[in-house]
Amino acid sequence: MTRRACYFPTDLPLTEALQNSIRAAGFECDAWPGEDQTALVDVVLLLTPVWCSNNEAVHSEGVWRRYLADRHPEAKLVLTGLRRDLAGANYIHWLHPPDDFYTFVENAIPVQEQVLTQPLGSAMEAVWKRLMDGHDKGGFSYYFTWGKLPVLIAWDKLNGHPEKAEAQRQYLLEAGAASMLSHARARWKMYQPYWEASPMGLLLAQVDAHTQCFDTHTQWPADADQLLEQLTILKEHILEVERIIEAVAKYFKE
Amino acid sequence: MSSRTMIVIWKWSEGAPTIKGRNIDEWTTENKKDVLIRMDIQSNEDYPFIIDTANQHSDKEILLFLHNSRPNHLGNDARKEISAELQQKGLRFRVIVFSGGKEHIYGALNPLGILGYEGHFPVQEIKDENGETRIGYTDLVVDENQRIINDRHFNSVWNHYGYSPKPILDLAERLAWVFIQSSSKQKAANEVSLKECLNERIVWADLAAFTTTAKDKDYAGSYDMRPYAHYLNAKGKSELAEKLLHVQGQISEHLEKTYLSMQDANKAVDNIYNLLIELYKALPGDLS
Repeated sequence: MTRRACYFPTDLPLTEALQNSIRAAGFECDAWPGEDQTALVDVVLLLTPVWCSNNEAVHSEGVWRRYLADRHPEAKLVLTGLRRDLAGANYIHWLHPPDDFYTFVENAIPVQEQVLTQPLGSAMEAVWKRLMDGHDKGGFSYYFTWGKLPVLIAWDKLNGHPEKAEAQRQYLLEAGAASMLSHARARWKMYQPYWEASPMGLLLAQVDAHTQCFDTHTQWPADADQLLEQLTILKEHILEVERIIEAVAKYFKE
Repeated sequence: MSSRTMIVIWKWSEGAPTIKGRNIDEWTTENKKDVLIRMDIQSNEDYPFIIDTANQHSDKEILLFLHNSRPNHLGNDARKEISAELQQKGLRFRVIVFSGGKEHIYGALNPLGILGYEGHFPVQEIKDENGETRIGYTDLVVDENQRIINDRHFNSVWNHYGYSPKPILDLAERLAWVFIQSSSKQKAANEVSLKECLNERIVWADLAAFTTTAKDKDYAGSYDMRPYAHYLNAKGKSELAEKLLHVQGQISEHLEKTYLSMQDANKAVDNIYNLLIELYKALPGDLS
């Protein structure tokens, strides 16, 4: 049976020698397709660190290891780069790929047992923590939670009770829901480029898309129907953001 | 030691609304030699004001801190743009991008830090003569009216960032990325110019700056290691200073070769990268 090797970043220019070596070992070789829970992956070749579109380098290997151990437990995570001191069972020096990729993969440690070396540079786990926690009260979690709660409460009270529109509008204003959501959006947007280096880049880009309405749907109209419609849209986006973050957060925790 | 200027661009206007855009304030250390300038730049249009402010201190060593978070959003792109301008003016500077609160500049992590919360200097609970508790600045602020700050705080932050080996790691990581990303383009050539291979993301220029050791050459920005080497010696770490010098010499030799076979160019980049990594691992993270 043909096995599958994926490489990341998706524009990684694999050398001809390495591609030949991978195919000769009986592997299909293509770029990481994004989240795909059905198709099995046997090997992931990850260049580390990854440079993101915000011109920052980040080490995402820890996140990849947890993700693969969960979704593809039989897979092998192979890092690549120019580090001579890391050359070993799960590291391919870019200029010295193994002649026999099949044997290399056979000898590589499965992702569930793999222990990674502490990266020298910025680790993605730390970046995630910084996004979520901030360093005072300004983390994404804080803003998102205190923006989400008033919206959900106001929607619940307004739904079927149009006479409560003004009271709920006042409540949303007093709770500062618009400002909280706007801050949450600003924080997410700033950190979004880092997640390009994660295995869930496409999924996390959806959070970016969902949070866009945090800036555009927070004017709180006086009309009950309009207010309910707006809160309904916001609620759906908020719950979707929450669902995605809950699904991926475990991969970012050391 | 020549006098020093730290320019910190941060969300100061949240704590001191008078500091925003082109409004700044200036604090001196107790010894009257060193200066801390607070700025809160929130728009690209005000970048020139950062350059102007730094230029007014052209006779001093400068550390420029850029806050890469709300509301300033000054990241690596800003660093690159501003560094190029400062370099053109021949300033002796280093630019540091920071954010997140888990850094030496923050009082929350370093008791001798200079940033507190919400745009303030660090604060703490202080008991007055009557035993009553109030919130006041830490001993960073020696005299608020005269705008005088504590030397120890200034030195702690200066020494940590001014003499950090982090640019070496940054350079190594950029070198590897540029080299690997460009490796597919290099297949056909019989001979390659290392300079052309490493021109992207100004790797070549920064490597050249890194290898500068001559005393008479102009200062070359964040990757110029001469101040760091000087500091290593001053701290009695002459072995490490020599190691740095040795690596600079080895990398210089690689850079001097104009054209190389593809194989030799690969070897050269591999060697340069691993020299930088081994050097970074050998150097202490903090000498403050």
